[in-house]
Amino acid sequence: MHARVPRIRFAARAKLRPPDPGPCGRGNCRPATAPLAVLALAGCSGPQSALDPQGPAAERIADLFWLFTATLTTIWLLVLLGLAVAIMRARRAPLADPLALDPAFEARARRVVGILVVLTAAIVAAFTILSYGASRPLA
Amino acid sequence: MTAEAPPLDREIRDRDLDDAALRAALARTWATRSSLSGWIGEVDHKRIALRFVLTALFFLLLGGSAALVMRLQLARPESGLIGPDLYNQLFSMHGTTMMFLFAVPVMETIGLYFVPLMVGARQVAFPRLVNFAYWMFLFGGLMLWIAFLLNTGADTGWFSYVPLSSLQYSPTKRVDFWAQMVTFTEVSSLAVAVSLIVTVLKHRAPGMTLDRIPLFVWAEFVNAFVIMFAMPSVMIASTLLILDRLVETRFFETSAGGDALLWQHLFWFFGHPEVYIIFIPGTGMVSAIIATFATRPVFGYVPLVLALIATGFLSFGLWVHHMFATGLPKLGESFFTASSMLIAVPSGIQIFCWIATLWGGRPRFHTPLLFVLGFVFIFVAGGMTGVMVASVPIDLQVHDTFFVVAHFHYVLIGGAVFPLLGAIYYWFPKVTGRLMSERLGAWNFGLAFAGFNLAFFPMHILGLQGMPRRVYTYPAELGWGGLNLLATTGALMFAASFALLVVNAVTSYRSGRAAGSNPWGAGTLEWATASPPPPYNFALTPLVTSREPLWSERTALPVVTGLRVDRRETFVTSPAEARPELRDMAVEPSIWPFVAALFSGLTLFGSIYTPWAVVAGSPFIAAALVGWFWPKSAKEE
Repeated sequence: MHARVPRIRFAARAKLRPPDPGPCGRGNCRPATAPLAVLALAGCSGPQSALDPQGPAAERIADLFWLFTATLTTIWLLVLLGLAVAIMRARRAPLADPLALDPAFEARARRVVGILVVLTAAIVAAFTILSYGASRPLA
Repeated sequence: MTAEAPPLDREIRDRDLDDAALRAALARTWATRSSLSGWIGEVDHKRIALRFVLTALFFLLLGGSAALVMRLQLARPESGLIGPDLYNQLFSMHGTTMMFLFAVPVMETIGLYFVPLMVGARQVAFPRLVNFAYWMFLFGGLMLWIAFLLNTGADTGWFSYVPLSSLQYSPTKRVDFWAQMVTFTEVSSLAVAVSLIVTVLKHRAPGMTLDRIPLFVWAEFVNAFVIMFAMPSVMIASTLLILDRLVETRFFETSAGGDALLWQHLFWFFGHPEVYIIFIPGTGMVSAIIATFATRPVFGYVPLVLALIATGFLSFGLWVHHMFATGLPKLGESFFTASSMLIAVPSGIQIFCWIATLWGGRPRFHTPLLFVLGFVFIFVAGGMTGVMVASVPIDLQVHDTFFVVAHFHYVLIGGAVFPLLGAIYYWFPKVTGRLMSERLGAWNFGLAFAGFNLAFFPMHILGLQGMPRRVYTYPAELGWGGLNLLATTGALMFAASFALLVVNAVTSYRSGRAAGSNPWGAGTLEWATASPPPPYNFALTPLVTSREPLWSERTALPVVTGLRVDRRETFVTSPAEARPELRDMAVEPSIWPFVAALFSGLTLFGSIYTPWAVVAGSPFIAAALVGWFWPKSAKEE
């Protein structure tokens, strides 16, 4: 009938099991290595934590996770920075004609947006390849 | 022609009358008579759309209340506020309501209100079908919630996976109500989609070529196509599920040669585009708001339209990323990872173009623009976690945890609800003739933004710590109590922001500042007519010469004349160039769509209990449809 579907082994995420107070539960949180203060909370290990890898495969995934998080957080902050600069510097008196556009700005914006789109495509392509590499031992 | 139309000796054309006489004649021809049959047989797209939007917002309050009860339950570990059975019903009702009864209808029917106005049309195509859609939607939504009040609420989650939702594991009628509600609402969405597509293709004002269509209209247009291709999949899925449960077919039963995974494929083939069905109109709202408040045309019109179309196509290539945990061959896994990440490209194009618009514009910080700025913050964050869960190894770590809950609330609330709130503030003056309070609006935004982030950001961390979604409680030893309490506090703030919205809407409706036809100085055609718009939308059909007619034609809009005013005439134009092709008769109100919806509703409801309901109901539905389509003796020209 059906070919056996290869089962995926869950490398790190434990199944729900009776609560086993991890280091967090005992109140001795490991020093967080995360760069952002808010993520320090996530440094807590625990029986179900994805950030507390207990084997080489899980460690590779955790590394991948932190790489994604760092890159994507940076991109997110840059987008917000762009937005902030856009609305800060654009406080000029409203012109009578909304259609009077500055050709120099339009040309510059076209170039910048074009470059950013190419960068976006390059980053997601790189991420796809990295995911492929990290998921190999799972299949 | 109906009996009320006065007999006329000769045709009266719009060019024969002066402005006041023209408006009086049009008002007489286009007004819905105030009677019960006029009310239930409504064909004015604005009134039907308003009913749709208000009903959907009512369901938002219900779905939001369900969420609040869940958040109160999760606020502290081992809480005994509600039990697991009610909790299961609440999260299922919350998801189902928000997706099927709130987000899709509200985003689609704001288009139903504004698309005809923005393309300069007098009426939407197939208004009776749209009226039918409203009644189907209302009946389906009420059925689901009345069933819930009778302790028969859906309890298998908004995607009701088999085998949990099979007769064996869900022997009560809860799943049947869920599945039939899906049928109701999908029929409704499909009907509105058909109407919007034809309106955009055939009822644009003369001169509105494809490259002059406003971006909001493009968004609703692309969205309607996505609905057309996605919804049939879930209707088939829910019908097969009903058949499995009602007449013991075996589509999803593995032991009889069926396939449980088939359900997941059918569901997510709809379910992923569903996300974009909610988000694409949101992008249209953002484009409309940004252009108006940056006081310039949106930068990158062509890339934005192409990004919309690309999003529409790509949305059908991603569904398997909801199923990474079911196990996939290596190649398939990589394909769906790549396609899921690829969606970041059109989304990126949109975000960059909007920022460039603000950069090159002269922004005015009214409430609608505040919500758009909040949208960028939240939606881009949700997009980032989307890239993370597109990666199979990361997804397997966070699958079915609160990380995913955080991700999709960032995407959906950021991508759809924030633009929607902005759109409400933006278009409220057009719909009611009165401006909403800016002071309350700023408070509303601040509370919504802070409350949302406080509620949902901690869920990322909870998910990484391993807290599964859909658990009604958790032991204190796991250490999740603090973040959950924080999330609940945020949820209460977020809810309070909606209370503020209601207060603002009600007080502004009663005593807000009069808006005039174009309070924001916007450039698109919906602002060319009075606020609220008269039943005939435009006394004279505008002739469109640019993308922002109200900006390019500063004194008076050029118009096209020649329509009769003694009967409901509209222009039909060519799909690409919008050349006038013929004058068409718009329909009068009719009670048959309501009757058809009533019989269809009763049939679907009855079929929850017995298959014979289909047999008994079909003749009645057929009779109603015959009444609906009975040939009229109107003279064609």
